Amino acid sequence: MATENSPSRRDYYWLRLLATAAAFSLFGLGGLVLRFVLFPPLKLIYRDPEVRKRRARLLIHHTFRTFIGFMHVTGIYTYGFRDEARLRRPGQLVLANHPSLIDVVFLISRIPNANCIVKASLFRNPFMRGAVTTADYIPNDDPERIIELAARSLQNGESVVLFPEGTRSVPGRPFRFQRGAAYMALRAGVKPTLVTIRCNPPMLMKNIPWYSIPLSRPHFQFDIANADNLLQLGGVEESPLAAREITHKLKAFFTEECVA
Amino acid sequence: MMLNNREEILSELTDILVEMFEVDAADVTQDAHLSDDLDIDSIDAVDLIVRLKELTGKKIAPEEFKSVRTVGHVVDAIEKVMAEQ
Repeated sequence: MATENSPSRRDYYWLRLLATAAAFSLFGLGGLVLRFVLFPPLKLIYRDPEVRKRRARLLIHHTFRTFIGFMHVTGIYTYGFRDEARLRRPGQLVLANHPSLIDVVFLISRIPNANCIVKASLFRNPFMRGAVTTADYIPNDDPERIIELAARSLQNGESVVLFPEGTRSVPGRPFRFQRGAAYMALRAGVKPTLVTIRCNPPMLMKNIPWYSIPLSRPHFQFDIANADNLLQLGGVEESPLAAREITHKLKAFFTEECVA
Repeated sequence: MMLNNREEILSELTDILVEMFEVDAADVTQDAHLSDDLDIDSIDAVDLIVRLKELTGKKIAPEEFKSVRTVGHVVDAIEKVMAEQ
């Protein structure tokens, strides 16, 4: 096998590449199956849009869980969660750093009723449109509306997944956090749950094509913490300065965690 | 309220930006870019518009602020609403 001529390519490099290609195809196919096969009956069975939305999210949760398992058994990566049970509690504002394309798939695979803020363009993407509209995810186009919808969602007991950076991190560059997460926490009065994601060696980073996989098999580690010691939200009014302070603390937390 | 010329407007605006967003007064120049130099984002802009309405006592349509990028643009916008009767 070709691995013998190139000693730096380890851990069944070519198999991992093949599996990665299969995973990408499967993801697109899964999106279409959800949209055309599994979601249409939901509309007939569940007349209440609230119930339908919850069912759709549960279906996506199980689909992602299966997909994460598929990528694991095919050897694309190994992974581990620390304190995973915390993610299952309702009404959590889940904030994470964003090293790879599949972070959100990992997180939703652990959260049964997750709302999330997604790129507005996915609402026009044929593979993703069915899922993001039926699950009533929040498009990232209007900042004020995002905060309002997310806060309402949290007050409803749904969990909201958000990457405060707004986009995948650029390795080696300091984090740039947007303040939307802080506003959500302030408006809903919810202390965030913080997920530190480490992927080593890095995989599916920003500006790197999918087929450029790491030479050895990556490990994804998810460490879940609550912000009890980090943030005091009690009685704090929503204001630009309060949002700045919270954002500053979040950034410091993730910066320190990711250096460690 | 002294908003008769650009200098006065800039000085009032500087006070507001310092008070609302804790920016450094020395950074507030006409050429300063709101998001890149002063870290004022679109949510801040909404709060800023509310504040400027109080300051000028006039209606400011959010559309007026769509093309605003720098402090100078904000001064332009205030100058414009003050000129309207």
